[in-house]
Amino acid sequence: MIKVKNIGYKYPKAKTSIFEGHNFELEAGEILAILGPNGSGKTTLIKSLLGLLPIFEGEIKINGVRSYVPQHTLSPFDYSVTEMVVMGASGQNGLFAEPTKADFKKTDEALEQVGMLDWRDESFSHLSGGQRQMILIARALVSSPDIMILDEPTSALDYRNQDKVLQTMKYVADQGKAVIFSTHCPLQALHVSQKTLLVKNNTPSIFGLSKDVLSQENLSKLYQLPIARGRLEQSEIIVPLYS
Amino acid sequence: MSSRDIPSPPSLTQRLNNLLGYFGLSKTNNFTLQIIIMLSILTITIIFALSTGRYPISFDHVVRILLSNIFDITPDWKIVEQKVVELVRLPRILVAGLCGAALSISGAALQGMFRNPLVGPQIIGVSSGSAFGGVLAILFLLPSYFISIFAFIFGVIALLFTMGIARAGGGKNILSLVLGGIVTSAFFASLVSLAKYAADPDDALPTIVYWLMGSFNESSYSDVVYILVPILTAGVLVYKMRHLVNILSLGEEEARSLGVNVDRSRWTILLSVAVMISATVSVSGVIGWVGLIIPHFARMITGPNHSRLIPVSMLAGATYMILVDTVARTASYGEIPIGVLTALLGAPIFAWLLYRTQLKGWSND
Repeated sequence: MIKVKNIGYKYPKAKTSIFEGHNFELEAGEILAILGPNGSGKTTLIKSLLGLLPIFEGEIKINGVRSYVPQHTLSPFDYSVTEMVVMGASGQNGLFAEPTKADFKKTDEALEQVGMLDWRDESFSHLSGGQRQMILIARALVSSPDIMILDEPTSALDYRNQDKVLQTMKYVADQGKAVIFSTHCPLQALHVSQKTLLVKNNTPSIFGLSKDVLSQENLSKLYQLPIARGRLEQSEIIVPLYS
Repeated sequence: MSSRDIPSPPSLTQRLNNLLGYFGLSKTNNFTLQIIIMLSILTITIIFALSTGRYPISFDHVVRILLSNIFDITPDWKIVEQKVVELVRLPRILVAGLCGAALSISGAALQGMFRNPLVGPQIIGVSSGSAFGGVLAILFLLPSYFISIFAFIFGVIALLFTMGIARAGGGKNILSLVLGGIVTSAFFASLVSLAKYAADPDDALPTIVYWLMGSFNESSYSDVVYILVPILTAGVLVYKMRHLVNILSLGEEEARSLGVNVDRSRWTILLSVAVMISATVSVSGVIGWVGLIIPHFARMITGPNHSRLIPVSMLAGATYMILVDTVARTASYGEIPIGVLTALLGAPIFAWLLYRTQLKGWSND
């Protein structure tokens, strides 16, 4: 469904690239986690995958409709939840697009899928961070995507809301969609994603099955900090050993 | 996943919605009701404005005079009343209403697109450009219809200036557009000053000064026809794009990720606004504040969704402008320039709206 070959990006007129040499593949129903330190180009990579930024080398082959879940939305207007979600449906229909009855039906279905239907008439800005993230996922679902791309969807959330977002991502993948998300938490990648891409400036990226790629050695090198991976009761855990 | 995982939302809105639903006023019907009420207020305002003036005419006569154009009604009014209503006041009211609607639609669309509550139609430089065009025509003592033509041409030139500066600034983003607008406005404002300096103080200068303050004093049916086509065409275009304004208000990147062709949408709206503003300035001079405050007022009534905000702004703007113009022509022995009055009323009304709404409809994050 997605094949990325040796892609790189640099700002126009810049000498050094933001990233280069990224390779990965993803099939329908799979989740890919992108991990890397701050400034390693995760968001830039995501924007390239969305077609918002042009790559300067390599090739991206994407077979299907993409939808995007930003970290947060910057609307200065106090739209209702339904108004916010239905925008996911009407955007692609040209200059004079008007949301149809079918779009509102899809909106309700998407809100139902993320467990937020009861909030359909509430003000988006009055929701908590976790709830807003769910609404943005619902907005992405409304465009009936084949691939959902999320930029650090759990970065500002508490553990319980992080879990909800991760479960929702799993649910979306179970519906046969490919999911790509960036995160600073290797444990999340280990628990929900089949595949992981580790990115770092001036270093070749590492791609493979999450259980293999998220090794102590790879992660310690990636973050330049000792990181331990082990078991606690039934669960596998990854913890940083802060200096 | 179950919605029971998440704590219950505050129920006040739901209760209100239930109550509205009980009376058959679902959200959609509620909007229809708002439009019906606003149309009724506009109609009453028009009749009030037609009957008010140096020569008062009763409501009854105004209505019968208007209806006599459609139905066969035996005249029981004086001929002079009919002339005042149909030839003097009606064209002026129609021009004022159209200008108010155009300014308000423009303001609502621009505030949404620029994602800024302080944006009015003047931000893209078109008002200043049109003002200079009009001033130029007066300066060279050209026939009065040249004022309209020049105002329109220079309005569009100003927009092209703004676009050019925005592109030269290296960005397609909103900030470079705003900066382009500020530079263009300042440039044409200086040209207006230069024209004033060069104008004959006994002849052209007073005309320029009065024209710049704005007035519907000389409005005629030919003005109605002249502005109707551009305002209707551009207004319908912006109205049709009202859902897109919602998406544009999320910011460039998010809008693009939702599949919107941001550049094309943005320039279509800007060009439509430029056409409407130029048309307005060409018949009435520069009228400030209306495009700024009316969208805030409309947002208070119908919320921030531009699919409702744009039509409500249009009706509120037309009503407001007709009311203010009625005050302008009746409050004193002489005519008060409309631009002066809208500014005089606009500043305290804007402050009141801020106090009342605390920018309600705008997220406070």
